[in-house]
Amino acid sequence: MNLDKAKIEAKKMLSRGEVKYVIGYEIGTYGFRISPSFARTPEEVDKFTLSPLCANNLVTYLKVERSPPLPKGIKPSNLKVALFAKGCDSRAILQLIAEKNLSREDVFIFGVPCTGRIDPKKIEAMFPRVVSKADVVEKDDSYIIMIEGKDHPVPKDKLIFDHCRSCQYPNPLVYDLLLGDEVAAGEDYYDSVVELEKQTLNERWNYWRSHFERCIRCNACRNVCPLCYCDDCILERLKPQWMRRSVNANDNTVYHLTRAYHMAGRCISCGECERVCPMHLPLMKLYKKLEKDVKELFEYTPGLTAEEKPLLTTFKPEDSEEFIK
Amino acid sequence: MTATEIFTLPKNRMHAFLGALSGYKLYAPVLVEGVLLFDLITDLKKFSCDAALSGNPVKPPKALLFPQTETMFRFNVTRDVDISVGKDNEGERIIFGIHSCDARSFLIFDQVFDRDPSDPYYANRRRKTVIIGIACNIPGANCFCTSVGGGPASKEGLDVLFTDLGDRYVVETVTTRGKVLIKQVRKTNPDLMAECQAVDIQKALELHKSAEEKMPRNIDLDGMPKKLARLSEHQFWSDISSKCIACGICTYLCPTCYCFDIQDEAAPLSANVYKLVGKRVRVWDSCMFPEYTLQASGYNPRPLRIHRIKNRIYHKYKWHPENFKSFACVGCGRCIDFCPVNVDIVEILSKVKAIRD
Repeated sequence: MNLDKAKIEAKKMLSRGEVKYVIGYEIGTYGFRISPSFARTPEEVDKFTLSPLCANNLVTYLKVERSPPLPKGIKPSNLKVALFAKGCDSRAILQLIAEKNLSREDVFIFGVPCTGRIDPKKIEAMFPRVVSKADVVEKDDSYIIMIEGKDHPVPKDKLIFDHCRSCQYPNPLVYDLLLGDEVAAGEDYYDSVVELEKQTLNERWNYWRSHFERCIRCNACRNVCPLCYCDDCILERLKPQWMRRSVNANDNTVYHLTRAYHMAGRCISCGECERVCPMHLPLMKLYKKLEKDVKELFEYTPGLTAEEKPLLTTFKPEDSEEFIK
Repeated sequence: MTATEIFTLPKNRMHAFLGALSGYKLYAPVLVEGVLLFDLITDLKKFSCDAALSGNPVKPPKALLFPQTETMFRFNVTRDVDISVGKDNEGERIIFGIHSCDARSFLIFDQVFDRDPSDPYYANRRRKTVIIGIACNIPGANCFCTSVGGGPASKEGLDVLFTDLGDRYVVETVTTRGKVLIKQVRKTNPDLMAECQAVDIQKALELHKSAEEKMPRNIDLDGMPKKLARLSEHQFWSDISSKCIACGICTYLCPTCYCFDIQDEAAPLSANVYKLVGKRVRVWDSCMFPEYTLQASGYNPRPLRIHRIKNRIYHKYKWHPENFKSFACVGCGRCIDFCPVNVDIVEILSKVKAIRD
């Protein structure tokens, strides 16, 4: 078992004191919920699980943990952090390294070849109010959903995240230990973006306004994003206060468009922003559009190597200027 | 208290019932892009009972009495300061289809906003709002209302309680206000509701009891405030806060979290920056955000996630019960349902209980 391989290695590293902790996944407290899991001792590694439900991009904790919740008197550790990373997560790591926000030697990566993850909104709609802890295994083109000893086979298509279907980089692009065989990439398409592009400016504006209006500005999309790491975020700055705290269609639009522009050429399409949104904002449509534009205009895809300079720090005389009107 | 009156209403007459509530603004749960939300009902055709009663709306009903953004007054600063408080245009309103847990949240809000001195914005809306609830026959996956003093058919905070019997509702008046409202409806629509038969009352009670038995989450909170007081420096808090990403979902979706921030949103009237026009707004705040408790000096007494999570738990289960004799939690389960990283308040409290001290 690939997970067993990871557990053995994780235990070794923890018992030798080589890593601060190992971040993996564990079965959550109810239903289909998965919880990020921090193992600080070899025993805690036994909690780890790995299944199509494990969607969280754990790379975000490299950012969150920069101001770790330490008890008084304890200094932050300089040890490595070990973590599980799927294809998209590994791209976040590469992008962080390229942006000089992370050093490769600061992380130990358990690379997880990923065949797609289950959208909790979809599975909870299909199996509502599941209290007891459920599990899922993948079998060919189906998921076997196991609830209270009963197996329910469901076609993968019905539960998988939309953005996972068109994933081009399901295999980790950087890792220390690869867990399992490489898997085939999905089909490259932008159907939902193309559909939106065909609409008039007014229609698109109204589409986004109607969604942004619903936003409650809980900041979950920003906080969960592994690449939204500014210590002094413009959306939160007080002097000057760029972003009003009023929650309405106007100010929410400023919030989302500001974040979107700051993610252009950086977003690695892990889909975490859309996953966490309690108001079902179709944020991946926005971020897929950015990805597509950046690809078409600059032939650039973020998070593929640690060496290539980030898109917005480079200038080429032959860069497209068509968008400047 | 007033003697309750109990009627039955056929399910297919629901629209007639709601239509009879003329003179009120009607708020009820509707599905918006797959998200259940309380919304102003202007067209009854768009209101579907089944969608409305499928669970707790994502955004709690506190938003109807304590909106996320409230304009307190407008100002115009030239040579003088000119302040104008908006006229009270708020008419009488009805919140329909609220669950018992959410109705109890208003009692917690009252403890804070409707005391002496009372908050005029909240208190004004509160007085103009009639609350019609629906008993919760099937609790959600993370419901624990019975553990915090409530119940799936609790009448606290309600004016009228509906119970769904399949093809009809049992309609029970709770307060005088509810009684007056139902009387009005019956006056204009005499054949709409019938006196409730004893057998239906019995059925409703059985449903209430069975829902209580189905409650998925249970925790005995006896002695919790004192236990928390003893554990404030425990290592445990550091362990549970590691995975928190410090977003505001748990607090914004909480029906009882009432923290707010007050801001002036102004723009210069002209090139002269001393001439300002704008408004003072009150917006929801969250103890999960770094800006919360940030002092003018730049010092923040709660710099880390561990302090923020602790603040949330301690406010709800220690500070509030010590001051108001009730937990600042109604057990609706939203913070558990929507947490992106499975921070589970019932699990946290269970762990607190299990710590030997």
